[in-house]
Amino acid sequence: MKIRDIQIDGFGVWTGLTVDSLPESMAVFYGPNEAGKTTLMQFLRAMFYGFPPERRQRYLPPVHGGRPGGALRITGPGGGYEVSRRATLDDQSVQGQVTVSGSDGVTQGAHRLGALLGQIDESIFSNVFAIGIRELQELSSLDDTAAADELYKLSSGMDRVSLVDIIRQLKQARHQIVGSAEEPGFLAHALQRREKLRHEQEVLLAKGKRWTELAATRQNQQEEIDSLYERLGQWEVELKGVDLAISMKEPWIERDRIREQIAQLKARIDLPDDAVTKVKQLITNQQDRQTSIDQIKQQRKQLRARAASLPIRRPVLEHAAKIEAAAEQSPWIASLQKQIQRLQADVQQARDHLLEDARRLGLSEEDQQQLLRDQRLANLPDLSRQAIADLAVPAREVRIQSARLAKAKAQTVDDRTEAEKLKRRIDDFLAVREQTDLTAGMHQLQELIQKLRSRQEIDERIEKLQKHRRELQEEVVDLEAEDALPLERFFVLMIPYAIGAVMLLIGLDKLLTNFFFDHDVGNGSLLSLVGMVTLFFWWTWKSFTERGTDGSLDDCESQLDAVIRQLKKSEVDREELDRSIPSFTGNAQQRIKECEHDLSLFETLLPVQQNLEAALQRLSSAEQTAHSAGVSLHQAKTQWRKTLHHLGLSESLSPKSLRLMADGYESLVTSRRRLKTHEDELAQRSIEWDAFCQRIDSLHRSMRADASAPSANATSPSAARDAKPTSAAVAPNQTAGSSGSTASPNANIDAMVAMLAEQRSLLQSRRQWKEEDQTLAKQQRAIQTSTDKLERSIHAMLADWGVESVEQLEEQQKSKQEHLKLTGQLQTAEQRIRTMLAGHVPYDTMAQWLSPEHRHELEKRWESLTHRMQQARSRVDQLLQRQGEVSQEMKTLASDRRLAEVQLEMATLEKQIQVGRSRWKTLAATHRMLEQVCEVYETQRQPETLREASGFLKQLTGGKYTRIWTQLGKNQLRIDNQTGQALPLEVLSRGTREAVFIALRLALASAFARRGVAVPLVLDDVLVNFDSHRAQLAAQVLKDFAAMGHQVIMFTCHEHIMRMFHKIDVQVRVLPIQGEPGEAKIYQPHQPAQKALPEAEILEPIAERPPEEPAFEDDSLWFDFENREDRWIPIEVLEEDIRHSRKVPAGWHVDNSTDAGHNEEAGTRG
Amino acid sequence: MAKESFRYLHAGEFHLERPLQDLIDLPDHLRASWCEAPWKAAELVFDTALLEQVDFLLLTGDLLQPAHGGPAGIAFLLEQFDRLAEAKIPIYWATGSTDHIDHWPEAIRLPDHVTRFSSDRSEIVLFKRAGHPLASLIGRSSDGRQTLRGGDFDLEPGSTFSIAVGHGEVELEALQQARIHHWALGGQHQSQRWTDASLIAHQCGSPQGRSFDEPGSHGCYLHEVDSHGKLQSQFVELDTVRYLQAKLTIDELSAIHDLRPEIARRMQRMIADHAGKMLLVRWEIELDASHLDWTTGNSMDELLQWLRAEYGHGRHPAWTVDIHWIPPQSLPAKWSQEDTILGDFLRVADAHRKENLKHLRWSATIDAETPASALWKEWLSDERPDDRSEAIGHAQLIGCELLRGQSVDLLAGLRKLGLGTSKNL
Repeated sequence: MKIRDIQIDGFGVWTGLTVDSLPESMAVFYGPNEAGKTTLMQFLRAMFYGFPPERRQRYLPPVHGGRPGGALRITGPGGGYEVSRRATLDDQSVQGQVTVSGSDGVTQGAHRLGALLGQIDESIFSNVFAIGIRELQELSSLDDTAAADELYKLSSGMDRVSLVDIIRQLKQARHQIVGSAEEPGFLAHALQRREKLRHEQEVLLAKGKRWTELAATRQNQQEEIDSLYERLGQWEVELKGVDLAISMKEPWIERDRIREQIAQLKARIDLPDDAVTKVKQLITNQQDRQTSIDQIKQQRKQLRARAASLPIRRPVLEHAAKIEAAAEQSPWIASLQKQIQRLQADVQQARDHLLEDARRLGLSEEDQQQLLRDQRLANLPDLSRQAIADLAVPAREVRIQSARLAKAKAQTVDDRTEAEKLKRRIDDFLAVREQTDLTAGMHQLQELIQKLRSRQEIDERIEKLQKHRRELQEEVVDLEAEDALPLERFFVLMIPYAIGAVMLLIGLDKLLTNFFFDHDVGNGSLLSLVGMVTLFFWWTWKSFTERGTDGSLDDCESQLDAVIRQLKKSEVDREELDRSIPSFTGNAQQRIKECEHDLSLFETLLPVQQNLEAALQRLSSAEQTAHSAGVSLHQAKTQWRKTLHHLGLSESLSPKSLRLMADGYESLVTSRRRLKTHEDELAQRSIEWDAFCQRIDSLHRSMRADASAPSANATSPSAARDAKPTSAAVAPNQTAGSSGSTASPNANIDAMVAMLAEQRSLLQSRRQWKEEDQTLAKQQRAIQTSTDKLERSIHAMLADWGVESVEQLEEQQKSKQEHLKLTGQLQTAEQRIRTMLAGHVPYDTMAQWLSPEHRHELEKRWESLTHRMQQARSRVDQLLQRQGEVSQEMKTLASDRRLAEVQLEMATLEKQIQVGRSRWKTLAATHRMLEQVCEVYETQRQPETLREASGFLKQLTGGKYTRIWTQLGKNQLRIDNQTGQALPLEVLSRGTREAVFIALRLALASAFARRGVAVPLVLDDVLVNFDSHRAQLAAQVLKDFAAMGHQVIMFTCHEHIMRMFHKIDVQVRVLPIQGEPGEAKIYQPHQPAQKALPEAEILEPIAERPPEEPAFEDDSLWFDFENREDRWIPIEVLEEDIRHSRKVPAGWHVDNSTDAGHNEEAGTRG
Repeated sequence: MAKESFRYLHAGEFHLERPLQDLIDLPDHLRASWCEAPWKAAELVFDTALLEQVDFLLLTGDLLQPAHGGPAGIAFLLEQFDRLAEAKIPIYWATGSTDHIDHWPEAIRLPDHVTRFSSDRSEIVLFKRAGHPLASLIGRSSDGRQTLRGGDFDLEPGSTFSIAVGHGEVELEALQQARIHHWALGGQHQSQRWTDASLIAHQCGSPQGRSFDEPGSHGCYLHEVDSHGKLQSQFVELDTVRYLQAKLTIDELSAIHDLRPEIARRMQRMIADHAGKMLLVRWEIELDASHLDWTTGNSMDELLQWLRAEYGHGRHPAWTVDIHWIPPQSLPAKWSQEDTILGDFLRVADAHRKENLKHLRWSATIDAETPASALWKEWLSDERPDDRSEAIGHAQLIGCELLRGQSVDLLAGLRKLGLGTSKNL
């Protein structure tokens, strides 16, 4: 971005100030002190960044009136812009009213201005693009180290702020937090404080332990006091008891005497009063029961005799389970008989059906009998399912191949008919067009059409060439006519010739001959020179004109020859083509249409041709299929016959007749299988029947044998009498048994069941008599037991009472009466003693005290108790006093709340430490991240900045100092002088430091420019401290810097500096008087006029500037400023570059008109 | 079920050994009040029991740790127990982890009206009035386990109202299976209640909040059981100092231009909402890029001093403990796109932020800058993810402000603690 015009409506002391057409390179504003230079600089900043409060306060409202604000016309990427910014007094916003108008008239906002400024804010602008005398003064006011440090910051990251500064701030802040061993920081103090609090807390907690110990002590004391009180109470009770014991001594002795008498008596006090009567009653009962036992024994003897006389046969009873099982099978026997009868009927029916099937197949009688005996027939063919299945495959193959052959034959007939029909249609079409083949005819037609079209194109080309030939012929005629010089052009051409010749002659006359004019060397030389130039111009013009006409004529003639050659070649081509085409009437276009029509007819027959080919192909395929089907049918029939032969059948049998035979064979086999099934089942049932009959018969015989054997019980006469009915019952069975093989099984079973029932009845009777006997035995045992018990009771009672007889028992009864009398006396004595005790002393204790061995110690015990009680009371008093002291100390300890305060302070302190630690970490994190940025800057940007600054420094110091560099890992700059000696910044003079400063700032601005930030560099009297030589060098450096594409605006109040810049052709603007509208005009020194410079010098002043500075050392790392190819660029090239690269609209003026005008003016003034 | 109504107070978590936390400094005029706050709140529990004439008092653990409470702690408790003994109000105490039975000095015997439940098994106590049973209490002191087991408190259904007293974290499903009318629980410092058809349970919380993790009101529960066995509970606020966190979000800040009036309005509302309480307030202010100038210079310290001077005095002061700036989640994209040092820094910071400072090692910085104290190094190198996340946010903000040329107080928050001066804490 470059400033071209400035318009201040009102700002500070300026009202209506205009600065027009500032150069894009460098301009110097000159004005004495108080002229308003700083205000103008601030105005530029205000235009860029608005009106912050401090600027608004200082420069608004305008001193001399006018609308606050102004406008700038700038150029930048995308063309030219007009930036206007106005402020109102009631609107305190920083931005104000900003408008940015482009060359196309479109108004844009502040964002466009930001883009033009490269998005840098005012702080970056101030630190990078604005260099003021104030900074130089500050630099000079610093000591050596600080100044060196300030310069280092410029090389190690600087835009809004210095990266080094920030890192140092962070480091210092962290140091204040953590401190060092010598100088403790915040955290160290906090830790010390915490340690103190911890110690105090431990002390206070120790008081808690003391309190607990005191509490334990108090508890122990209380327990001891309680214990003493308890013991005192016990001792008081004991003392009272001892007193009582002394008073009870006599009654106690009397009671002991009565007890002794009772003990000596040894009476049985437990002897009941009616003991003698009870014993006598028991003896009587025992005698009655012995009589009853004898009667029961007689009854049992009679019952046993009757039971022994019963005729019971045990073998019969042992077969009881078998007989009952046989009886249960009676229904099954009946069912078996019925099944046998039914099966016999079914067998007969199956025999009849089999014979009928055999007769139907025509079998002989012999074969029929063999069939009934289940024997295979010798002459019966095998027509089983397997045989039929074997025959089914060849039969199916014969059927399939027959059908296939018929279908193929039908297809052959159809395809042949269709092919003949299509062929006839095509032959008819070709016969009409005298062609034999459809494809060949089409090909001939296509070739003919192609040739006709080529001929048509040749005709057109010939026509064009003829037309072109005519035009060229006309042009040749015209050029030949122009070759003769027209009169008017001759006169025009002769004017400069005449003027030149006249001026040459007059000049030569003045210079040499003085024939017509006076001798005047100056004018004569000038006129001669002008005349020669004019004549040269006339000759050049004339030659150019003549050379142009001759060239055109030659061109036309050569073109005409070429056209004629092409025309002839085309005509030859047409004749050759005509010879290859059959003759035809009419034009070629019509003939092409006819041919195309014929071609379309051929094309319509193409599908017919394809159908014919397809039909012929199908016919061939169908014939092949019919042939293969005939072969397959023959093979299938051969296989059928082979299979019949293999199965023993006639080869002439057809499948149908074979199927009928197979059906009859199946029926015969089914009937035979049914007969066989019925016969097998009948045989099975007959076997079951025979087996059962044998088993029943065997059982019946065994029963009869057992019944005929004599009964063991029938030996006695009574037993023989009882057995009679039984023998009678068996007799009929014996009769039946003699004919057992003929009797039915059911009759045998019924006989056996009757016999079993009789034996069971006898057994029941005997069991009943046995139970009666057992009942009587139980009664006998019970009476005997009670008798024995009565006897034992009598003996036990006598033994319990300690006597052996009833007489002794009566004596014991008398002793008991005496004992009861003494006991009454003893109770009276006991009652008296207990009344005296009255619960004061436990009886046992009193008994112990009054025992004979302790009675004499009672008085001594009383004295001991009295003494112990006095001692205990004294101890209790002591403990109570001590307990009061402990309680007081505990109360004091408990009332101390210092521990809570310490704990609160410690908690607060922990929080503070946490805050400090967190802050340290935050600052450390910031530091580490900034260090990363710094590392990147030092490795990537600092070397480049230092290289560029070295170049500027070398220029500024006239080659005395050649290089600025920094040691790796050290934040210091070092300067190499021309002898290669590396010097620290501290040893350099103030002026050299300022040169280093300016070099670094220029390098910094250049670095930003390389990153796309092209903002005018504003300098405020930065050369004021330089001597004249160095100031001239600096001015040249600034001018060169501007020539590299940076706009530089410098303000100065020193006239010699202004003249210095003016001397090196830097435009100088002089600020007008404040308070009224005016313009900062270009400085015009009042000097004597100089001779006009040659025109060429005026046009290209820069290009002629010779290189003044020696090249830098041959070090590839250094910036080779002099060898840069783009340093000196012709001004035309610059203009064109600007126009094309920046796309400046035509209405905008980007040339160096001001510079040129300035130079022209200088030349004119000269 | 009970035929007479009765009422009981439910409190716990006194933590008499634990002072107020999260305080950064102690102003002289508030030091005594803050120091006494936990004791005062505990005393108010017993005052309330006497005032409300409750039938019994339930204490659900963590009253104090005798070893760290000093002599005042046990003496205070015994004194309060004696006050209730005079009023014949029995106390049922289920100890927690802090006041575990084993920590209690053997030499100090509890009064007879204090029933301390065993930590080995559940104990059942019948509360009677004039010989007539009103409530069955089943209690168990903490045995060191974190979670309370519902199976330990199973009680056969009877005619009395059943109350379970315990300490620990609860699993509601386990409690629902036990046949208990009311669960009086301890173990967490914030009060909580669960009331539905299958469960009525209360966590009484601490009577005094101790940190900003325990904000809002604190106290105890007053329960009343009517003659039909229906429980009604009332929370009684007892705290004297109350922690409050106030936050200003980006959305709220977007509508205001000046911070002080908005904060003043919020402070006045907080004071009105918590009338009669001393307030400890911590402000969290979310920043966006348009408000970064609020953090520059001494503005934060000035705001804090203004708040303290304005509201931090009087009988019920609202003391602003700290103002915490929450750095913006994102800064303007054009800043990081700048080809300046600021842009470079923000790009580096973004890279570290994505990695949460995992690759930023400051061990070299620690070694170089801290004196040879292993403890310090351990502290400073102790990295937790939250710390790192907070550090990167603030570091980015500080770096950004410094590189923008703003005046930044790098020791903000520490100067008031006496950094750089000889001021004692």
